[in-house]
Amino acid sequence: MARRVEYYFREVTVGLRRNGLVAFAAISTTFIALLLFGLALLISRQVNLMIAATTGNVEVAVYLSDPVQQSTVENLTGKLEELPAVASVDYETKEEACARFKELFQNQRALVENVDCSALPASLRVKLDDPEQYDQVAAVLEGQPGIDRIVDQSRFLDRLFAVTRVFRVGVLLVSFVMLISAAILIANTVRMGLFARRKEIGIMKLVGATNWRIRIPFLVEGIVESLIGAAAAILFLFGLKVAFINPLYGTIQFMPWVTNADVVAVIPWLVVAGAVVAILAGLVGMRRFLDV
Amino acid sequence: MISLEHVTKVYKNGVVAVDDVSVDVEKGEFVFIVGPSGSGKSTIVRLLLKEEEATKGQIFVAGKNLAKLTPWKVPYLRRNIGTVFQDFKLLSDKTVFDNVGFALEVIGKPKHVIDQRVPEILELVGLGDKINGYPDELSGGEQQRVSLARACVNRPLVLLADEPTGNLDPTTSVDIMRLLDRVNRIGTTVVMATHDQAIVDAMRRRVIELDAGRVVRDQSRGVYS
Repeated sequence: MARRVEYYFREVTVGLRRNGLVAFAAISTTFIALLLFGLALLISRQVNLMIAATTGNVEVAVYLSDPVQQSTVENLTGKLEELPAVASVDYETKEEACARFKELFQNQRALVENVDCSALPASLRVKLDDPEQYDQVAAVLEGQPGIDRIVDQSRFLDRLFAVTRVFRVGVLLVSFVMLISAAILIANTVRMGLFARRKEIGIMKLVGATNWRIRIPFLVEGIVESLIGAAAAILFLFGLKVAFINPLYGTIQFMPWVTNADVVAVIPWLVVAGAVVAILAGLVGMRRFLDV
Repeated sequence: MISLEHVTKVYKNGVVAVDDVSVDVEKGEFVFIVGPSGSGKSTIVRLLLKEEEATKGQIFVAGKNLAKLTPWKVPYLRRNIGTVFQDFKLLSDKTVFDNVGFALEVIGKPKHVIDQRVPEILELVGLGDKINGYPDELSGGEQQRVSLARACVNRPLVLLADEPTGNLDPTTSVDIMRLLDRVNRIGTTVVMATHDQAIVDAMRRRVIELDAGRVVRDQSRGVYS
């Protein structure tokens, strides 16, 4: 067993050294492909985190025009509560709005000090069972007096998520194309390796080496190339996360960001994707070459 | 040991290389296959190794029907067949020892077997002192002896030699023939394709003559023509 491992190890390192430049091209393409693939996975994760964090809090805010009449509040609250889609209606006074504003921007003292709290409007906070039913709310409130503006937060979030989804799909597509290029390059290194060693392979077949005995070093060579690319991609993902996500921690309240654990969770995917691509590429690369 | 029954081989380009050949070779026999270039000698060697499939007829080697041999079993057939070629087929980046050991290594033989058998067989072919040399440092005859050592190191039942003396001068050829004779005397069936008339005449063994893919003569203790 040890002897067999030693044999494969020697064959693989010889192969990698022989066509170093092509191996380098294969490794770097795999690296870029898997980096983009990892990015796409992390973006998905971020979007899911944001959806989970915000969906429970999505509200329709009905801002009331000053001065607020108690009857207006009761009238609107009554109308809204009759709707089946509405879960709850809370009245937020100007004082409460002011307190919430101060809490939200407690890190930005200058902003808090310069804003006159009386400028903040009172509002009705409407929670919906189903955020898609916003149209009902809009229809009921249409033409009612005392309303300044209606803001549907889910509209805004929908747009944000739509943009990130498009971005994610774009990154996935690019990574897919890169993975195909990586596969072609790996297939090429395998084929060049086979060609460089065709005499040796001919002798191996002649003396009765099994096909897998001949194939495995070349397959492993491709897998090693792609795993080196995967390792580089993983390191780079951590680097990106430290450089761009870490500074964001705590800047927006209640907004969760991907953590190191999320990056770690992506590792198996990259490794598996790299290995699968390498094996497929290897098998394609050595097809025809190894008929008995 | 080897049996061909009405074997015909037609290549894809329509060339009929072997035409209705029936031959039986007993265990321990020494057989020359002679004939001009293109008469089908090499095709028969390729058929026996299952590098090519017969178009018609049946081939048995070491008790195996080659037509019924699944691809993954072909390597195991070849472990019973040693092969020697005109061009030696040695790896120039490996030493003499490693060239011979390679044949054992790639069929998964453990290191202690390689370390024991390789020097033994190299001693036998008279290359005990060149064991760490490289093929390029050896003469043609010595290279062919390395090749012969590699063919025999796994103790095959059959030795196929395709023009083994084709690149050698007459004196060196005689050395190689002595070794083939020795291999045959320890019980290995030897089939040698050649058009070296002097050798065939000197050895006086069974001669199968081919012409345009057909057997035109099968004579024991024969001469070239």
